[in-house]
Amino acid sequence: MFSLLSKTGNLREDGPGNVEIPVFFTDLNLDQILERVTEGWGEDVRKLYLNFPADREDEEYRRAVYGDVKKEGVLSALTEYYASIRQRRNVAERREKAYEELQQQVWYLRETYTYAAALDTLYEKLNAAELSSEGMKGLAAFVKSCISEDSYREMKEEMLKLWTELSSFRVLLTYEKERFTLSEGKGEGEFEAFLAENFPGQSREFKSPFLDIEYFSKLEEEIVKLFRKKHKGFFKSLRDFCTAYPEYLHEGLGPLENEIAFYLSYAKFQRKMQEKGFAFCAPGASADKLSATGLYDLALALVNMEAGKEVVPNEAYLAADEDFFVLTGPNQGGKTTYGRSLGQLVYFSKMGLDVPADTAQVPYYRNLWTHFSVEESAETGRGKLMDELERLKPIMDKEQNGAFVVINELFTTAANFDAIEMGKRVLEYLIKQQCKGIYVTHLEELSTAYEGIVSLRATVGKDHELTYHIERSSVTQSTGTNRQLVKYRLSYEQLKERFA
Amino acid sequence: MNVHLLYADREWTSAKSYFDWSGMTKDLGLKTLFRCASLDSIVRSSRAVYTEQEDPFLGQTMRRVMRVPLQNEEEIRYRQEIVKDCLRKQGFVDSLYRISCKLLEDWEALGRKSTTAGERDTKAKLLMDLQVLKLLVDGMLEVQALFLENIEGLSSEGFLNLFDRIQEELSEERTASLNTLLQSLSFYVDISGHTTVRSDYVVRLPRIRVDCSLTNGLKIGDLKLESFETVVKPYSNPYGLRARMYGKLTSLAPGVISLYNDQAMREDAGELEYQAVSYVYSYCSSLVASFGQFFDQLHFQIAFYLGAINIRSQMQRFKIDHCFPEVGQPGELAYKELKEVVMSIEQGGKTVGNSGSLDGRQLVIITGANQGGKSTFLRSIGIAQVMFQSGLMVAALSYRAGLHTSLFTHFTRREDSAMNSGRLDEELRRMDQIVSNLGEDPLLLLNESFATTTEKEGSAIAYDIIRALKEEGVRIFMVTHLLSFAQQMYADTKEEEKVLFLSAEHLEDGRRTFKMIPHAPELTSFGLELYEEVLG
Repeated sequence: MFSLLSKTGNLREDGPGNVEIPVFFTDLNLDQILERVTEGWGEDVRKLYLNFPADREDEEYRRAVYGDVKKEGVLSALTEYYASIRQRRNVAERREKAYEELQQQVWYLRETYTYAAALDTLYEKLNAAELSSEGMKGLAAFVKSCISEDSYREMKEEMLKLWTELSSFRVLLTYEKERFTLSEGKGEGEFEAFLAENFPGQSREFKSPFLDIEYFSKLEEEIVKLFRKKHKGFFKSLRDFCTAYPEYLHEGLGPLENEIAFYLSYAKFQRKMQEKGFAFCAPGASADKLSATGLYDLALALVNMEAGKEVVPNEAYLAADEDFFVLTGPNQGGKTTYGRSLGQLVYFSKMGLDVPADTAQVPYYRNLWTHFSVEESAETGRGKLMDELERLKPIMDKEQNGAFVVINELFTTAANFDAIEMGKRVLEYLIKQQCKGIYVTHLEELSTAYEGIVSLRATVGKDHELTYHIERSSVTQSTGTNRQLVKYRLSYEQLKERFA
Repeated sequence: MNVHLLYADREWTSAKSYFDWSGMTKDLGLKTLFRCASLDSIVRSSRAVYTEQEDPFLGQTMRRVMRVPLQNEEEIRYRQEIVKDCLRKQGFVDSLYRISCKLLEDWEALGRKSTTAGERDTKAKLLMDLQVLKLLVDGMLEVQALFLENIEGLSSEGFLNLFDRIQEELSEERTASLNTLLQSLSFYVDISGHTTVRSDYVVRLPRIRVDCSLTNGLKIGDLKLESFETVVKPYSNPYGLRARMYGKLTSLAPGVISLYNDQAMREDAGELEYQAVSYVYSYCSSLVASFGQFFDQLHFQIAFYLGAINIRSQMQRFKIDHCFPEVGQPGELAYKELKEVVMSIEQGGKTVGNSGSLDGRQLVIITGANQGGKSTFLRSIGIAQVMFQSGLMVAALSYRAGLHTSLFTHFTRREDSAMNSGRLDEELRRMDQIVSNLGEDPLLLLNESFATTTEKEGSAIAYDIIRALKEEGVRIFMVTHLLSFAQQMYADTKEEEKVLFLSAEHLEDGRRTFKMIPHAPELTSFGLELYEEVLG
């Protein structure tokens, strides 16, 4: 079965999403982000965000597909296609709700028409676009095979004939002097021309007042009566068509619709955010080192955007021979946010999508795990330490070879000495398992515990104000001549520097 | 539809404003100017009538417009030309302002701002929309008529271009098609004006013809409006004998459905009417948006010019000389009888003017006696520059200056002592913010800065900061009592042409003239003499 999400068509069955929403989703605030991304796209599309690709090949496969999706031509092709899918679903819904068989048949004709037109346009547009990914090329080929099936072509021919005839039916409806006059025929279009010429600009659609009700209005009943009498032949052929072709959907297209929506939803979201000035980039994924500039917490950005606040971007760099970040610093200094943004970086990269950063290099990680300390869970009545250890257990038990791990404040309730010791053991274990990741903690001792640990600090400004800026720690303090002058960076030397 | 009276190429937006405008307003005492702008003193006959009626909107507008400095000569010329037109045609400006005020009021009365979310797109909303359409079209026609009456006396690019745009927007053809449309909509709500029908009672009935398809499951769709008009007829009783006969007879013909005694059909007809009207209205909605925006902008922009007239009237009233300033090269500054206009107005005109030419003087340090007019002089420069860069007249016989992208005031604010940090700390923080926002080619006015600490420490701070700013090329006017700083600066820079030291003039007999003269800084600020004068 062809799929846009997996090269082999085998979606990962043991993926965390198949069971339940994985822990890291809430820890990294991905649930908040994805709520916005999949807003209006439906539950089925949201579920696709819960599964990681099966392996490295699939990750690359998706990245290539997404690279194509972002291209203007492809994006518009898929957008248009998805719009007609929605339209078709709407029509199908109306058909199911319709009271009279005759009405159902006319809806069905429209349904097949929408379907055929959508497939044709998609094929044309994909053909015209420059595709470089295996996945998108595969989609084009799949669509081609669909539209060249014999049975489909037969049905399409018959459908078009009927559709043309139906479309040619026009009613002229005159309302004046307390009465309606009905006749068959087409108008001259004079008044519309007058409007368009004298009042240019956007105009709304002239909506039928009866569009949203399933049954016929009194007026419509009269119209239908008139046409049934006059076009008996058409209505007979229509009935025959519906009996001859009770099905029209190609096998395999259904799941693809959601897969297309998966890429589309993210591309639209990304574009909206980019218009508001938030950076996204395609991660260079073949790297053996992790690096990012302009990295930010997307969930925080969404919250701040509404409050009109900015987010502070940060950098990250973990060389191939380095193992773990240990991040320390003052409370409220942006430590957790930084840990989250790293986790999000890895998540979106693993999904084959663009990441919230200016530039990024992300190696392949087998999995993503997080462990965030939570408020004491009162309902179980257990101590927090016990609770933490139990939540940690599945992580420590499993083979974690090559996963990316985000740990936020472990063992805060334990005695200092114990906490340091336990922290060290966790780190040692993870490093031995060839995991990479970040450990956010208030225990500065951990930052020098092992070789391969990179110590990070949340910095503070001159006046001890929080900057939310994370740096590799090697802080030196300088003292000025006039304390206050220096504090405001107004000494002669500082001013010269500021103007430089 | 654009107004473009404040800028030749754009409408008003509050972009690129001065940094810390409210602080500047306080430092320079601009509040008085805003109040002057509010005081309606239009010349109604040959003599000025000081009605002293206050329209706060004029002052608020002046405040907002002054806040954004003009950045080049063309922009300033553009406004100055319009101000000149306004001074010649005060009645015209006044009427324009009244029309826009009245229109916005009427619009509000129709419920402009009361669109609660649930009510949108209902039939009541459509009725209101149609009335607003009528209101705006009438308003535009009124503006057009006013322009036609007054166009002879106008010569500024701004007004002439606006007139051209109005003539284009409301050409004869366009006015005719607008009237046709309003007339065709009038069965729904009477917005067509007078109707001439012999009988006293008339009814307006629609005639609507629609062309539609059946592809939507045989329901009508793809609607095209074929004709749409209002027929005006003498009233006749809908339940009378004639109506009954007519109803019965028509329902016999094929393809004809009478509404008579058919409630369902009547409802369908009503729905169709509503959709047709809102469809036709949708063609006008961009017009409504455009005209609506036009009046919002006109109201605001003309308020600025009305304010300019009012400020000028106050200057005339107190016999304060004023002129249209000239745009000079960067660094130029020459003025004749320049007065601090706020103080002059408050004191009824009895103030001393300063004359001088400070071309190329980048750093001006003003020292000297207390109560000698130093701060007044500093403010007069600041106020004149702000008024100049918003296109207004300034209080001087002549004023010629280069433009600054921005202006900063750093005045000791004695009333700010309630800050939680120390006062010096607060001063330095403000300085830090100013430095961060300097931009290119700023003008910086300092009044007794860093006087909140000892003279020695203050001098050291000032020396660091002013030296660096001077080297950066910032134009600075500084009133200071930090005499060791002033003398240090004097020793460093007395040879430099860019630097000038001014002092409040002090006659031999101890009298003060309130004029600024070039003078080296002295060790005393004549506080003793003032002490003598007041208490001795």
